[in-house]
Amino acid sequence: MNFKSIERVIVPVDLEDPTPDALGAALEIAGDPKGVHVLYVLPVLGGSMMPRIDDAKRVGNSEKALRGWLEEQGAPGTVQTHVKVGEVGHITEALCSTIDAQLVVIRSHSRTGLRRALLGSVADRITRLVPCPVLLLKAPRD
Amino acid sequence: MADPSFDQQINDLLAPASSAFSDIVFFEVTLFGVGVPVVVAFLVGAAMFFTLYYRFINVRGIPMAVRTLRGDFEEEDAPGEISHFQALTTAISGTVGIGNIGGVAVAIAMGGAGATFWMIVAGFLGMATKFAECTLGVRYRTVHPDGTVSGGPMFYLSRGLAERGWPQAGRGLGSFYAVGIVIGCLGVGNMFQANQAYVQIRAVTGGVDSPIDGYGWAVGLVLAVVVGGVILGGIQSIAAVTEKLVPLMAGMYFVGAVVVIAMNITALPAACFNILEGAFTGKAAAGGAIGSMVIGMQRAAFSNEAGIGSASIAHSAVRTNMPATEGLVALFEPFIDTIVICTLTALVIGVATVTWPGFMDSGLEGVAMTSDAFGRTVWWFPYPLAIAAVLFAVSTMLSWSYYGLKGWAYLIGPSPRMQLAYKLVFCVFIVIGCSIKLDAVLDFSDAMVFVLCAPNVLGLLILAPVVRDEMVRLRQRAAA
Repeated sequence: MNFKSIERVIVPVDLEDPTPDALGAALEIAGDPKGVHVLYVLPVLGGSMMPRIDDAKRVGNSEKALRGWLEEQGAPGTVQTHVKVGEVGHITEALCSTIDAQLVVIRSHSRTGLRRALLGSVADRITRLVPCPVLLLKAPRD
Repeated sequence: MADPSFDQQINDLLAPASSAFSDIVFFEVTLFGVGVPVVVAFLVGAAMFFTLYYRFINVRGIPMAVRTLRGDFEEEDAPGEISHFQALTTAISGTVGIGNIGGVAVAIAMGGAGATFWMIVAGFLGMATKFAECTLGVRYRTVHPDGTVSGGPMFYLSRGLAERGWPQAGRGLGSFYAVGIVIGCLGVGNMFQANQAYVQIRAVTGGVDSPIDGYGWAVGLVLAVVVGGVILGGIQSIAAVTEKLVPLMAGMYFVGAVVVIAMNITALPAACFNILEGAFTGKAAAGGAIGSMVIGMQRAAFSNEAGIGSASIAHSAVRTNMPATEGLVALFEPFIDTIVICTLTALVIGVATVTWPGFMDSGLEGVAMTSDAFGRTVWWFPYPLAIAAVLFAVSTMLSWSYYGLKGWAYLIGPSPRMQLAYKLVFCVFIVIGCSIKLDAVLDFSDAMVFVLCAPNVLGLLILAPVVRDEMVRLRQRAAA
């Protein structure tokens, strides 16, 4: 695989626990920040008795938070952002097709044992579903 | 068709376990010859301390609470999801439940009329506890990047105690609480509600001759489908309808109770006398005045949730920068729940006891007893009461499923798969709750509630100065 020919990269981030390394790698690989698509996926909230803010507002708030975080990381303003509500694997797969991405860069949480059994691995889900290569950055074991 | 003894089989399987669990939680010490559960004494003692420490905020805080509800401290751009008024109505929907109808009857049957007096006292003291937990719920909440909020005891225990220099103890207590609420919501917020809703439906359809007698599991299944429709299917409209109907039903219940009491007005003085006399002499079987006090206070905590910490999960979603505002608004919760609604139920039962001397020996218990008390004056009242009971049960189950889910997410993170598993388990327990007898359900529910109180109240005691500082900050702001 020729990394130099990669122009469109997706970086799924978790704004609850964001780490800059995947973003850094994506910027380096894509060269032009315009080709870096940072994706934040919000979980679907089930029904409840709690009145609460709707999905449109959640997306708006998250976009603001995502832009703020990118700025903090010193990322160029031309980096593309996407905030969607749904299941992270399918959303990443759909975005891959839409923008014809050539690479997905993710940082794994490197969970082991019970936590992994319970939570599963977002990285696994994405790797299984997306049609393009995936670059997985390993985190130190927690 | 299933074997009619299916309910019995489920009961036989679970009753010994819940009874053993209850014995451990309600470990008793003997006081003046009466067994007093340590955990109840701790809860009431703490509520008295909070009342004194916050200088009778239960009374003095009301004017500022009214100002807050009117929107005097509303800030549009403050973090949070809902207004103070919405937070209060949501929390009340969760709190006003079967405990107000059935729980009062349980208290009176066990502790005599005097238990009512102690329920009211506990409701009053509980206002200070609720003030503390809801203030802390907002102060230590997490605002997520999408603007939604997570708060409640697990957050104030872990963060508040870390601030005081005990991060490990905080983490331990926070996780302990989260485990407790995940399991506990299956009792007080699920099985007890479902059970009593079934009991009331059965009572109005013929009691032991009812076609649904022995088919609790089937009623449970219907309730599980309704609750599952909201929490699994995301059918928000059910929740929206329930949310609108609950205050209406609570209002109707209020009016109905006042009407029944008015129709038996000649029995009212004797009923009040019984409550006061019983409070200080008590029912011999229950262990006199102290026994009556223990039972009344236990049922009050069960009904208004002060000390359990659960309501602070709902209150923490409020839109504000001043945590104490929500603590003040929360004062109304034990007031409406216990001092107003529970007292009315107790008076309805009280006048029935005076008017029909054999009333207490009818063998009815819980919500069925309350229903009978209403039905003796207005024959058709048990029917709307059955509808109210089902609605209260559904709204309380929906609120508690949210509390349980927040505890679950705190423990294992926001995994959609695990949340789904939790919601499924929650729905299964609705069926179980309808299938087993009241005693077994009560034993388990009570015990879980008080398991939650232990870490929560301990945290509230340690963090009391933080709450006081927040109140000072609000007073300064109000004066400015």
